[in-house]
Amino acid sequence: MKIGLFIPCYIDQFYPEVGKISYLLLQKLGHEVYVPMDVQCCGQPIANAGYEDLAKPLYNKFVEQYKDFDMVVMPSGSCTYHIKSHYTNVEQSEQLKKIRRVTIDICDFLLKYEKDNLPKVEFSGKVALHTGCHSLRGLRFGEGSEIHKKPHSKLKELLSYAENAIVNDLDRPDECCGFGGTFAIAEEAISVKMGNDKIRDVKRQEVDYLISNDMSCLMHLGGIIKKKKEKIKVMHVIEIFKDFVNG
Amino acid sequence: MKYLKILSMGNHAKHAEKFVNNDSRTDWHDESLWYVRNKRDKAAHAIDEWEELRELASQIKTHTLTKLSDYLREFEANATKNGVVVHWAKDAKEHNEIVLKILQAKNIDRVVKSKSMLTEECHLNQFLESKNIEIVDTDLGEWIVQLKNQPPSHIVMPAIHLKKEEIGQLFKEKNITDIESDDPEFLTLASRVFLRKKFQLSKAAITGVNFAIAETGEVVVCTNEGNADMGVHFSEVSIHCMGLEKIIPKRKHLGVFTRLLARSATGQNITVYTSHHRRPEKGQEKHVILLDNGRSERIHDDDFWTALKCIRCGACMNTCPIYRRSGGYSYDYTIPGPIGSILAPSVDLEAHGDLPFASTLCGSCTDVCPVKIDLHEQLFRWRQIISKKQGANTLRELTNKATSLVLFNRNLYNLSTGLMKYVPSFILNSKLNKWSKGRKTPKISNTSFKSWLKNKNKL
Amino acid sequence: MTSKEYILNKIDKKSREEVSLPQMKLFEDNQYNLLKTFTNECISIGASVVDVKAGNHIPNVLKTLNSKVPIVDLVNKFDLDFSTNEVVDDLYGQDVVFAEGEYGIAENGGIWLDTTKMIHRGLLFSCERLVLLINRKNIILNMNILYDRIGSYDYDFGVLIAGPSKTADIEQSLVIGAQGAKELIVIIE
Repeated sequence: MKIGLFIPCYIDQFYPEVGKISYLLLQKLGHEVYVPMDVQCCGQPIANAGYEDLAKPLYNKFVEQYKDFDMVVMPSGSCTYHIKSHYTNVEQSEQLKKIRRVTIDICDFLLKYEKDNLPKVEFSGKVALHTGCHSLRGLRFGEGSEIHKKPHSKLKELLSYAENAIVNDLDRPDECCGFGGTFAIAEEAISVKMGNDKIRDVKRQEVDYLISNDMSCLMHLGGIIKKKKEKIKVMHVIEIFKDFVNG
Repeated sequence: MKYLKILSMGNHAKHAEKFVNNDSRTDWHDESLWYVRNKRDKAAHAIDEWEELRELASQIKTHTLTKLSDYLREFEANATKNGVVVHWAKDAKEHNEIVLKILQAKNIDRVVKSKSMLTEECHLNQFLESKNIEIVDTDLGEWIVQLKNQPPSHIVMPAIHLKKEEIGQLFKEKNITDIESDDPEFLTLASRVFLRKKFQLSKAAITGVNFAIAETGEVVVCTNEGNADMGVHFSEVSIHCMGLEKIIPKRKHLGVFTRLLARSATGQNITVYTSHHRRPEKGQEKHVILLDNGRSERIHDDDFWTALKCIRCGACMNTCPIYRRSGGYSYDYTIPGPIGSILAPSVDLEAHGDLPFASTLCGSCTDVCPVKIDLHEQLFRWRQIISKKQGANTLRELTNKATSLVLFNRNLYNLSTGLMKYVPSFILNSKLNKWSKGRKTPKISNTSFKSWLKNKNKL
Repeated sequence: MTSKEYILNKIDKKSREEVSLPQMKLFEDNQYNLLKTFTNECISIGASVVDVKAGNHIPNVLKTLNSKVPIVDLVNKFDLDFSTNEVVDDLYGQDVVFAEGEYGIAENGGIWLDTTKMIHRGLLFSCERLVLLINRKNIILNMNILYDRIGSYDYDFGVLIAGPSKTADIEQSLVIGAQGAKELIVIIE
């Protein structure tokens, strides 16, 4: 497929590895991958701060740059959710409607289209999983404990390609990590408290890794882990394919 | 000064910071509410048709709201036929005056009240007390906060923020008990004895309403303690206070709501008492007061009218990670938590404009809401409205404008990120950067993804 | 303009497209043993259950309760030397009060009482111990079915009572026996 890959600014600057692996993985799986260099942001932080009108130019640029692809893929559940759900205050052109349809998180993309083509990987260790709220409840990456449905987790499913990884469930697997965009600054005390509680939960499970599909959550939780000098490594689930793409 | 106002933290953030400062108490508060959330999950998941019931409840409420005036008229006609006196109150002031008039007509100066968030909304207690009428809140939790001269901190569990030792101290202080005890059974028995006397002396009972049935003119009150019924059946006058939105069309619809309410609120399959009040006892008066107080306005708001579906179960509060860690008082409004944060700004946007920002928009509230209000989406909508109302050229607006510009323009983006690389770590991790108070700041990579890709493609 | 007119005018100022009322369902389910489920629910909510199928008859059960004062029989079912059909209308002075329910709800252990023929309603709530009689034929699965059955009943006051009164308002500690009955005895005949 002709894929437009979107790498949001915080991954571009803080976690380029995640961008690299996304790009190389999709290529290795046989897709034509393009990255419009002019697009840095889907507009979510500005819209969530209450200024969705100020984000309009970003929305329009996104549509203009990504309109010609079969699928628009990104290693970010929160960006995916925002594009699909909140690109509502701009003209709903055919192009925009298509983009809202074909925008997909990379984990979702892989599980939908590349289930049989993904390799089993060597990654091992004890893992705690965190599905970001936008992915969990926004994109239904799993059933939160709120809903009465058969439990499933896309994150777990993707991680299962690492046959030697052991998942220890958190006591509160679907509680928000506390990042919340500008919330992290505007309500810093609660944000950090939520993050600290999450890390305490992770520690109780005695794991080596905290794996998520959302680097914004991990930016916050990883920052807490570093501050508290804990020995937990954070990573995007896509990084389990690191050796596969570099090999 | 507008700039300074925006620079300073919103009220909720200020209160929350204080609350969270007591780490162990925050954990205790958080765990108490999480415990109730878990009970709710157990009860909800035991019913195969839970999600279907939620959908039915949502549809019934939505339908009712689109025909609200018809159902209100129908309710009034049927209730009146049953001998109930129906009153209409435009606002809280009128509501309170109606209550006063009813009591004064019979020279009643002692009243017992059972749980009603609506009467909190109207500040009824303070009003009646100013007219020398004793009004006792007879729900144990409500009574405790009344003794403490505090408002309820949760709409279903008013005293959830108090420890049993504190309640024991309070009871000793107020001579409810002779000794100071922290044993819940002992304290509950003491309140039974003390309050029984109040029931005996009071001539009027005020209750809230969970559901009002248009078809039959009856009102349904769901309780656990027995105090609401004790009040009503032993009083000359009973007054049931309800918001306009409590109407549902037919008695059979109760089948859906009674299966959802208690499970969502406390994890019980049903409250101990589900009382259907239809006609006054012989020789007694029964009144129902229909309160507007902004609801007839809210119903026309395309963004927020469905918040009127709310059945006041409190599930959104129990699940909200921010409510659990900041407590009801941090919201400065009668109803806290997610639903409160949606109702409050429509009452006073200036005073409560910070509430929709007291959220990470995690969406847990939406998924537990028994009537499927899209709470987290409404919080998002409020943010847009509030930011617009705050106007241009505030610090927040300018910051977001600048951010949007930098992210839009590739050159600006490269320039700013390039510069950021040179900000030394001791500044990034200093007090100037609020992020770094509790977290380490992420490092800007030497080679961004885009520069790596650019180089790769050149090769 | 009256407040009523003011309010209704405000609501009718703009009409919204009507959303249709959904069809009600009964959610019947044959997999449940209604009697067993009902009994278990009653016990889990703090009531005690006596099944008189085994030949105890009801007055014997009532006698074993050793009520401190004559049992108040709200439905005039019995004429026993330890029961009375007279009520002293006050909030003190009752111990055991007896009433008969119409339906038992298996999903929550509740008993529906149409109080129209009762000699006094308040005693259901002010007594120390409440005894409710229910016929096993009248145990139904859930609240949808209940309201289907009683949909057109013409009661003055109806109540579903599920278990003895309780509260958890003090640090979420469950206390059985709040303001209403401290004990609920369910007799199934």
